[in-house]
Amino acid sequence: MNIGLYLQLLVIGLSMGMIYAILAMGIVLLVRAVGVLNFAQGELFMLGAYVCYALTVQLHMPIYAMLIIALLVFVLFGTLFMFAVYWPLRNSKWPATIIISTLGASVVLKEVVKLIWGSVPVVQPPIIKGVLVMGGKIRIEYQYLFIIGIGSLLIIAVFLLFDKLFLGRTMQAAAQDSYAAQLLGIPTVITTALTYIISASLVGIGGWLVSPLFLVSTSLGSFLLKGFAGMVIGGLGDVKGAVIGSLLVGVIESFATLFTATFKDAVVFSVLIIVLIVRPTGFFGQKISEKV
Amino acid sequence: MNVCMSYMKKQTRQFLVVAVILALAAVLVPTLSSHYVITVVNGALVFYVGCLGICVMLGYGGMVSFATISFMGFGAYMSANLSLKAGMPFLICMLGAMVFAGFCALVIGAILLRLSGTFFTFSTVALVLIVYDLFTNLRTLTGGPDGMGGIPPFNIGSFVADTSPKNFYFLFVASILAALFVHRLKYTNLGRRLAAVRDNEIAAATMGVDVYRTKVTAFVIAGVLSGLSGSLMVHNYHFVGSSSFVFDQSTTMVIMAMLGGVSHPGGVFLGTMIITMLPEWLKPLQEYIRLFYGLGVMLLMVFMPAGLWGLGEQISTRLKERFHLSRKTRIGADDASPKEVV
Amino acid sequence: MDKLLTLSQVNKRFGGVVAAKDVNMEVYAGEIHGLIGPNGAGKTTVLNLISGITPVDSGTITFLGRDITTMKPHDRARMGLGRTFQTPRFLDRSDIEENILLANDLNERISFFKSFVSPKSKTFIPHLDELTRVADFSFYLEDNISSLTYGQRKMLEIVRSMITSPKLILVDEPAAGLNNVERDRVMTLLRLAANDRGIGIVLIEHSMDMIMDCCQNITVLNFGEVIACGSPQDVSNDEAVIEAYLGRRKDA
Repeated sequence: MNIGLYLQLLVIGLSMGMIYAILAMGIVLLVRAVGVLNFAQGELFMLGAYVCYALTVQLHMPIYAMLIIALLVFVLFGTLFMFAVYWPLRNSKWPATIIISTLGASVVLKEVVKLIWGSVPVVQPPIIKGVLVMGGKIRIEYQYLFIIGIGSLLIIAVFLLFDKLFLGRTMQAAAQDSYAAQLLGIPTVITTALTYIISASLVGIGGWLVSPLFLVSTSLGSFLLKGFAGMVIGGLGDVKGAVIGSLLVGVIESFATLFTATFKDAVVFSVLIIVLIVRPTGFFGQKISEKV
Repeated sequence: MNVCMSYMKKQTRQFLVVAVILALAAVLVPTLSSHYVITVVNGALVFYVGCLGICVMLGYGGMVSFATISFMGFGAYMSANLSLKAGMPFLICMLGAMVFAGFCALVIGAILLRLSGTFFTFSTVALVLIVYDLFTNLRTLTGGPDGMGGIPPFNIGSFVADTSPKNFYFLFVASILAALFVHRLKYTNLGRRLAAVRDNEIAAATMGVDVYRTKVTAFVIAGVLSGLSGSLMVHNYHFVGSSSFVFDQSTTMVIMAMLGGVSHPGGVFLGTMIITMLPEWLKPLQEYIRLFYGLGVMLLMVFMPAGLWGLGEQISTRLKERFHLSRKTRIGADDASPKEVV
Repeated sequence: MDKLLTLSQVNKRFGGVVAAKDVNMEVYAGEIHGLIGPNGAGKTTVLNLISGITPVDSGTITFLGRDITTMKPHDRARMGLGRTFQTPRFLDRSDIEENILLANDLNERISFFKSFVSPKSKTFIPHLDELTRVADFSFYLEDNISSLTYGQRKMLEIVRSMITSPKLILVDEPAAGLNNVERDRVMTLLRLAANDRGIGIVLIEHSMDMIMDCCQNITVLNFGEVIACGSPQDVSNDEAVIEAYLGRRKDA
């Protein structure tokens, strides 16, 4: 019984789970508040990593300045993204067009990043350096704890915003019936843009958090799938479920490395498939019924 | 009766025109084109058959699925193994590939299609990644990342395709048969059920359409077509490697289908040809090609979601109405006979 | 006369809201059975329960002598249970012909293989023409649904349902949004279905003229419960019904 090893794996699992949870929240927000599934979410995540890399390593900015500028960039990007991908298609008879458009956007983002920074991955130094050593044998890097900390803050913030605050409910009302919302004077442009901004910022920060652990590369977008797995396992369309599911995914993935390194991904996705067979709506999901 | 007669004549007319064009193509393309061009065209035809699966899923059924490339892989490896390890003739390998891919599609589709719309789409992405992992790591069956080489060429009896033009004939015939099948599919009761599922699931259910079963059927048909495509690929290039079955390639195929017009086999053909030829025409701009694809798709969705074929249909309808050429069937009018020229 | 449909102690809750409570109902062949009640009484819910879009919590539904309580919607439709909606639901990316052919598939059940090799069926055209003349409007088969007006679409939905050769049609507010002329046409269509074809109709309507004119029996719902059931005369004189619609007299 190697407690030390298990503790390490748990910390790593939870912190990766936080990252997946951030991604999952980003998707769920857009699904709940706008009604679309955003394929480019992973690339916005990747963009976050590159932007923060550019600001810290290439421009040598101090951390506080970097955070403010990065957030501004995310806000700008979220708005831009919405107007390019969602806004022109919001009334389309064919819902598949929006998905395909986000697909196009994900390709565009990936290629632009490649052109600016090249295809070779770059290295981002840890945000919090150093390692926590417990009992002489257990080594846990502070970076992981940092991720868990910031991740928890973000999750609480999102939960408060959408479940408790008026702003969140306004946005959801606008999503469920935009016509009625407009009649009530809710400016849907603004609520939609806000949702995109929050979503982009969330995953942008996620990209920043994860970049010291993995190389900053164009394949960071594939993290999205783990976030998606978490979302499905925890329950479709529900923020709470997405978070719990994603944390589970992170931990499962981490402990799976005890048995196999190559098929780590396959283990996670196999669990996903099993959950799909047994409980398609996930553990906490509810059926969203359509009004007939 | 009059209605029936004019209907048949229109069908035969269209059929003859298309048949003539195809016959010309069959003769001219291999003789007039350089060896290199034929090779490129062959590559396009291989993907065309797989894209026809996207036509069925997305064009007819409104379901976005990226699984095509994985089923191409299943078909490819099955065909490769049957021919290399079991020494089977090409036709058996091809059939084996189609059956295997179809079976996998049945099992996988039955699971994934329990998810609604956009979540289903995401799950197909996950599928591509898992399957790619499997292809790269199950070395005994797939040869791993190095792949399997030396796969025998197309053959029927003693006719062996040892040159590119001969490959072209096999691919050409396979493509035509697949395209005819998919085209005809639209006018069957399954085609209508798919359209109902695409446009209005609830109304479909109340009109007797088993939504789940219809979706799975479409997925299996797409799977079989992808399996065929995989088999064609393997015998065309005499090689198969896991790097062909990456997610990026799947998105390219979706773009091929959407550019030309995903709802029509002819449109899919246009899109496939253009996207395959594009890297050849734009050689100096190689680096930017995928960027163009991405931007192109976004613009396409806004301005031309029906693709080039849809644009063509719009133009032809307008022209017909302008010059009073369209024949429409009037229902419920007291004055005119059932057939009336507008 | 044959009994087509029986609802027996059907219950449905949505969270805390009771949408249907111990609902009993019987519909016979050739009968136009009205289903009325104030807004929010649960009328559309009852239709959804019958057509299978919403599952029941408890109780049984019997159609043509078979227990369909747990049957899927498409299986019920295949048994001959038709449905129209408050807002007409059509395949709006196909032309009218495709829409009607889809309905005709229920009428003419051929295998996939047969539909693959034979040309497009034209057998439905005379029937479609006849019904459309009764409804007194016209269109081109090859046009898109969007070329029809709202009223025409509502009427076409009923016609489409009749093409499927149903035994029973659930009709949800067919006259809503229609002018008087169109309402008359709808009534003519419904009467044709019931009297000439022996089709049972469950009719939700707010237009009392239509209900009193067409229906042989009426079930009145309020807050999900059946408060009255009987002929139009009985129901219009029923105390509970009057109270539900108009409220109680102050000095009663």
